Amino acid sequence: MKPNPAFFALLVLMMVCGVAVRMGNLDPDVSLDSARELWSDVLRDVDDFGLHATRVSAYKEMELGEQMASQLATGMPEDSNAAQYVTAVGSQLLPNVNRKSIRYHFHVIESPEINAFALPGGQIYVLRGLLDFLQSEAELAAVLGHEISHVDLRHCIEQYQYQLALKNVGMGEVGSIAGFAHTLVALGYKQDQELEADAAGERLTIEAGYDPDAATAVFKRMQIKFAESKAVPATTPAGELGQAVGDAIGSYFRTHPPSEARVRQLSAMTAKNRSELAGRIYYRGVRNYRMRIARDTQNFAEEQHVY
Amino acid sequence: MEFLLIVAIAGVVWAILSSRLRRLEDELKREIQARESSSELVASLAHRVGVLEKARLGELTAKGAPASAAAAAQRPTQVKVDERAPAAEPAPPPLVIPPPLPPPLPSTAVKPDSEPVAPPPLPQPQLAVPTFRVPAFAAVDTPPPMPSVSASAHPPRKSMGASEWEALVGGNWLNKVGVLVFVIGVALLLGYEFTRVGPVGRVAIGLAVSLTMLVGGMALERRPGYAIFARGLMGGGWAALYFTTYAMYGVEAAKVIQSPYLGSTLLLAVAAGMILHSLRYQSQTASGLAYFIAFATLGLSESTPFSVLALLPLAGSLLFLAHRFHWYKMAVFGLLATYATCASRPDTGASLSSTQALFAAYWLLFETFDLLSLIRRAAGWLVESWIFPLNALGFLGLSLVKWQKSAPERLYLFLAAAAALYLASAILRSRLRPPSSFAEDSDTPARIAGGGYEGPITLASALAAAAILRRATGEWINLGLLIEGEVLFVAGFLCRQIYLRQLAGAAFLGSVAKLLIVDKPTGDTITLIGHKWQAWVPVAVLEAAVFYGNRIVRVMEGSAYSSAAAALITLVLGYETPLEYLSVAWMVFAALLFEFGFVKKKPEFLYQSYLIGALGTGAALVVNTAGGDPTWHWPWLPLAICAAIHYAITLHVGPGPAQQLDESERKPLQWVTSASAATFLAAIAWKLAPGAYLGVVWLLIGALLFELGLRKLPEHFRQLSYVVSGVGLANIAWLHVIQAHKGSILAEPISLGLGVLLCYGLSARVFGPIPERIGEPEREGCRDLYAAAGTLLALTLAWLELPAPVVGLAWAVVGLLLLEVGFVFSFGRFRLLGNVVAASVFGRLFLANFTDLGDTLHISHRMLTVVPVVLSQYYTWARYRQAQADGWERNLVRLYLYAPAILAVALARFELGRTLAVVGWALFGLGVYRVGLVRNLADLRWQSYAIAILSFWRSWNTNFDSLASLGGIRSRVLTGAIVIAAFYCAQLLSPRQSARDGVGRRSLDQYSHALYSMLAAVLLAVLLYYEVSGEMLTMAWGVEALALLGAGFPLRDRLQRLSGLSLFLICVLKLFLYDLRQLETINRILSFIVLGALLVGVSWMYTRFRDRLQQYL
Repeated sequence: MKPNPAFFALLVLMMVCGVAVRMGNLDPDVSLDSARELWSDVLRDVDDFGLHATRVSAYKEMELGEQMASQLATGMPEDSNAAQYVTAVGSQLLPNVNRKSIRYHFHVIESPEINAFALPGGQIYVLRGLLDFLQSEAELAAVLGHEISHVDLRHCIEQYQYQLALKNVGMGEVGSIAGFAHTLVALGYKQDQELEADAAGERLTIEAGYDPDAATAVFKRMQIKFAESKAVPATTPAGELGQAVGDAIGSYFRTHPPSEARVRQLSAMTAKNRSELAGRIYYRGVRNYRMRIARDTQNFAEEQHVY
Repeated sequence: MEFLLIVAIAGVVWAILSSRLRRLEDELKREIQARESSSELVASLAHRVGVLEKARLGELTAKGAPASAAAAAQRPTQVKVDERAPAAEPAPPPLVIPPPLPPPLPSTAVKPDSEPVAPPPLPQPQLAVPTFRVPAFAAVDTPPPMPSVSASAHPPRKSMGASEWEALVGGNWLNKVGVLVFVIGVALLLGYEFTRVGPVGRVAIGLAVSLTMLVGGMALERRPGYAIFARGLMGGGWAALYFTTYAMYGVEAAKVIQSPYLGSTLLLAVAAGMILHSLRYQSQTASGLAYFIAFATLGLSESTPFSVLALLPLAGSLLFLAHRFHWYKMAVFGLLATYATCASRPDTGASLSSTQALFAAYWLLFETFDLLSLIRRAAGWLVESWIFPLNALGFLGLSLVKWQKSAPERLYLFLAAAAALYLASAILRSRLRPPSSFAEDSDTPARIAGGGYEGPITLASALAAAAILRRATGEWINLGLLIEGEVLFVAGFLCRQIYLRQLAGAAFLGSVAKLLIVDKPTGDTITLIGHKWQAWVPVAVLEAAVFYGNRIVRVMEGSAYSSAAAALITLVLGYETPLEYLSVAWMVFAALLFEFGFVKKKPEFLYQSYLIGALGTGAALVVNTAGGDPTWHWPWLPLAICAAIHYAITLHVGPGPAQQLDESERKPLQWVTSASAATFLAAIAWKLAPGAYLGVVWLLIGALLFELGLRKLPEHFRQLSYVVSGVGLANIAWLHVIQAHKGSILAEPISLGLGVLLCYGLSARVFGPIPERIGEPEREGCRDLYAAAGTLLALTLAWLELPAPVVGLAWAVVGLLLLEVGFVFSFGRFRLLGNVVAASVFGRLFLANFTDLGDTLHISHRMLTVVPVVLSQYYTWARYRQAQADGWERNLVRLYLYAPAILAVALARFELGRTLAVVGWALFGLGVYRVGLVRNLADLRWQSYAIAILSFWRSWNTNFDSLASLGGIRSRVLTGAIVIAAFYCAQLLSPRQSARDGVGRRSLDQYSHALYSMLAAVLLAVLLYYEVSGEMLTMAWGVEALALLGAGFPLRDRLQRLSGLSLFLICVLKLFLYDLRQLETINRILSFIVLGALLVGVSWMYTRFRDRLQQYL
């Protein structure tokens, strides 16, 4: 049998592509994240059917959120002054959300932890420790955008939909079990939801006119702050495979992706849209943040930068 | 002393009695045999008579004789020998007249000590012709009795009577014992210091007694019956006379002569008298008794040098008699008595020279006797055979004792002189009793017993060796033994005597043993030619030279000499060669031996070379390979030389017309030398090559060996190359695959690269069949294994040197190449290898490519790497289809349709994102479906169905839920529209008629049309549900239903039309079940109106254009 001419063409193509990759901007990632993401897709595709069927209205969602917020308020003191500032910043992000019917409420809890979270129905919480950790209004906007996106993308309400649906039909106990089971299933794609919220929050931040690199800066500082050691790339073939498998198994039960992965995604996102972003003016608001005065109240020229 | 004397006397008496009894017994047996033979003769003759009688009767019967006579004649003849039976008729003359048997031999008529004389032969029977007179009418009941044996014959003697015993004891034994006791008493009397009688008196008494006994014996001898008694007296008389003569000088109590010469002369005179008188009687016993008594008296007498000297004439006369009358027993007795007497006497302080001279005289005496007796000596161990060894024992023993006491430092002189004496004896014996006079199969002890030269020459050799050991020191001993051995060897060779050469071997052995056991361990050194040597080395070299010289002459033991020489040279080399080149020295020597043995066809040299070669090889491995000294300049050089030697021998013994070795020897030898050469090459590499390149170097050596093996230089290299290459590959695998390290030194990729080239090169080398050089199974295995190894190294190299995203692509190139080669050359295992690599590529993409965020010119690296792989997999499928795969590959081919589909779906997911992926999927699915229809590939069609379902599901669950926009358009509308359009395109492409499979069953494809139709319709309805507000939804669905219906007619798609009608139905239901209650009035009214209009319009169409529509239905 003689060699096929297509063979040579294919060889040439592969070599050219190889050279092209070698000459380009390399950003390799040796891991089993692709397999994990695909599996996450499968889980979400299966889960979405039930979630669609048990979807609650925005009104019901907000009602639930208020109930949860009132329960939270009894045990955790809030800083109303700081909440005002946070509300002012968060409000600048709301015009670009998808679900306009949700009314957002921003809270600041007196706690030294560096954290923020969202409850269904637009209840956004920022802890004092995080406020102290952040350095600019743009960073605050990025954090708020992330949490708002969780609500906007229904990540928060979906955790309770099965419970609510079964409760509505008088099967509250079963609903608790179903909720727990759903939580286990949702673990498989929780990290993807976080990355989605990062991406959506970044979009909100950019569209609100804040610095696109603010979120990246926050995660980088968190990486240092929480001593998230950068995984040392394996240097042997077996080590590489072992490291990938180990990471895949370990990350399955992680609720948040590593800061490094989040930084990588956000950087790729901004790099991908660099042509659109180039030349635009964005606000950082370092001074605003120190003074706890929102941009829409006091706009400092030195805080504006051209991307 | 007295006790010993009594014992000796008793022994002599016993010997005499036993010989006498034996002789009597022999005589009795002869007499009995004579009687028996005569009886047998009589019986046989009687039988003959009977036969003749029968014959005669037969004749008579034939002529009319009465039957009774014939019957009687038939009866067996009974022969009864009865000397007293009366004869019925006059007895016929006897058939045999045996002569009278000789009477029993009287004791006095037989000479007791004479030589066994052959008994007189029995007289032959005188046969006489029988004459019978058979009675005519008488019934012969019994044949006439045979005549009795002559009554004049003496009856045979059955046993000795008691009276005869008495006569023997009293008349013979007592005589001898009495004489002995009497003479001893006389001797004691003379020796005893008796104050009454002076020396003269004692001598006179002694002379009187001895002469009385002599004269008395002579007088009684003439009388009958007194012969024995008389001889005993005479023997005692001579003994007493000899002792008295001795005492005249030798015994202080009886010393009347002062001159030793006179005393010796008188002794000689008496000895001469004894001899002459003995000659008259020729009686060994009598003479022996006389000599015994004489020895006994000398033994009992005072210990003086003269008493020892007096033994000389005594022994000499005894030997003369023994030789004259062949009285060897007496000779042995005399020897024993002489040396025993000397040994029993304490050292008198005589000078060494005189004592030695005396001993030498004794030796000479007996040795001469032995030599003279050689001529008529028979074979086997006889009495006289003991003379030589006993003489040697006595002489050497006594001499050694004397020398050790008197001059131990000069003992070597005696040993040398004794050796010379025995050498002379050996020479004489070789003349008197030449080796050819012995039987060819006679052994050495038999020859020594027969008087051969072997005994004395052995003693001469041993004494010479002892002299050397006593006199020489250090290596001179070796030299001396060497010379002695060589002399013996040359003599043995010239005289063609194996025994001499055996003695030479013993001497050489002694020399070598001393060298090994004594000289070598001392570690002494000497300086020769400006170089320091081990002290024993020159001797060893000389010995080796001598041995080789001995080998040159063709002797039976030549191989032993050459082996010994080789061993010595090997030993010398071992000690004198620097350790670094020890192996070389041994190998060179082994090569020389081998060449010599090979050319000259001498197996011994070959075997030596094998052993020494094994030593050299072992030394090379232990010293030069495993060991070594850092100070050595060229540690690889000895290994190279050894390898060259082995290789040269390998080629030298290759098959061919000039082959000198048998196949059974040649093949193993070639194997060993080939393996050794290969091992040394590998060892050189181990020494020289840096650690990171060692595996490659070994692989290179393996390639070299393989090529040489193919060219049969030699053939074994081919098999050995597998081992070497295997080791090299294992080294490379361990260092550069398992422990491959990104960012490591340059040696790693270089090693891997070279390894890849070598492996693939070796594989390519045996692509085509070369039956004359390598068998097919081996060739194929070799080709495939090397390719597999090269592939592993290539994949590792790619992983090591290329960026992570490119690794999968590089692997895909390797896999593609392997597959292509497998297709072009029909190599099944190459294709298998390619499939394995392709599977690895598949996994690698998920590991490193799908999450890659890099790009080149805004083209993601994902696209640049995954798309070529997808295309390569489709190409592989096409190739398999073209090649018409069978077996296990037939099932594998289908995987090459599914794998790229999975990769394409995953690529779309990661490239477009979770929501936009449906667009890529729908379009890809449409394309796959199209190809599946055109090429009639069910797998592609099934893939398209699965992708369609996936797109539908993702669109509904994810995309339609998103409120994001793309370019101002709602993303769900954009993506949904594309997906729906793709579904409808697929519907249009799908066949209406369901296809049937090979057995007539409907396939899955029969539902494709319906599937696409339903998916499109439902998805559109769902999209409308999400996009259109609740009030307008019914109208929107109505419009969709109308569109479906409208499209169903020109397309002649019944399902399409049914979908539209179904949707209309749903709209109606929604209208009544939901709109009526939920919608506002105006919207509700609008819904009813619009839907109603639509339904009416449709119905009108069905009615108005029924005929035209019929063709579309």
